[in-house]
Amino acid sequence: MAEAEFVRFLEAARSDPGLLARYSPMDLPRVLFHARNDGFGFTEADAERVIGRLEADVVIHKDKEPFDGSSALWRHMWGMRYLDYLVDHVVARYSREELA
Amino acid sequence: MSESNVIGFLRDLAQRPDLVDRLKDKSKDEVIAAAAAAGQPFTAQEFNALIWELEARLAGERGEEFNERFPLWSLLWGRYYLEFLVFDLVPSLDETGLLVGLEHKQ
Repeated sequence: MAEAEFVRFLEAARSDPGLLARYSPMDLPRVLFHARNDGFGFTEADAERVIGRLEADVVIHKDKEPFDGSSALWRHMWGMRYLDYLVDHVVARYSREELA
Repeated sequence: MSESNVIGFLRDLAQRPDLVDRLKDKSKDEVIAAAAAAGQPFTAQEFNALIWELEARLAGERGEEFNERFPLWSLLWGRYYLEFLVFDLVPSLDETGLLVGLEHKQ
């Protein structure tokens, strides 16, 4: 269940500003490499599946909007790096219980 | 007309990395206001519809599914969204010929 490892990584980024600041500027190969050094065992495919599921759930179930170019979630991608957006505007929409 | 302004503005930014640096941490509304001030006005709705459609067409052109596994999304990591648009998305649309006919002829 490496998807759970990626969720654990996102939760660590949410609770540890230092970790988030360290990873935020990294491209994906660097994220994957350094995360493994830090004890998080996930792959690109794990990250894709988790992000896709979390974003779709925010748009369709939490915001109750159509999943297309007009979804309100996407406007939060502007003005910040991708991992900051994921932590502040996707992961932040979930309780620990929902993410478990 | 505004479709061509979206692409024209992103193209102009590619020539102005200093402006990308100034705008990359700004909100969508602020970037749209900067585009209007630069003489390339477009609305958020026009941007949303155009970029979604072009991303979907890019996936089709590459023979890939337009879903969470589309490799385009992997280019978002480490980037501000504006950097992704200017330095990854528009060049990809150029490489695949998807912008032909969309822009003002000079």
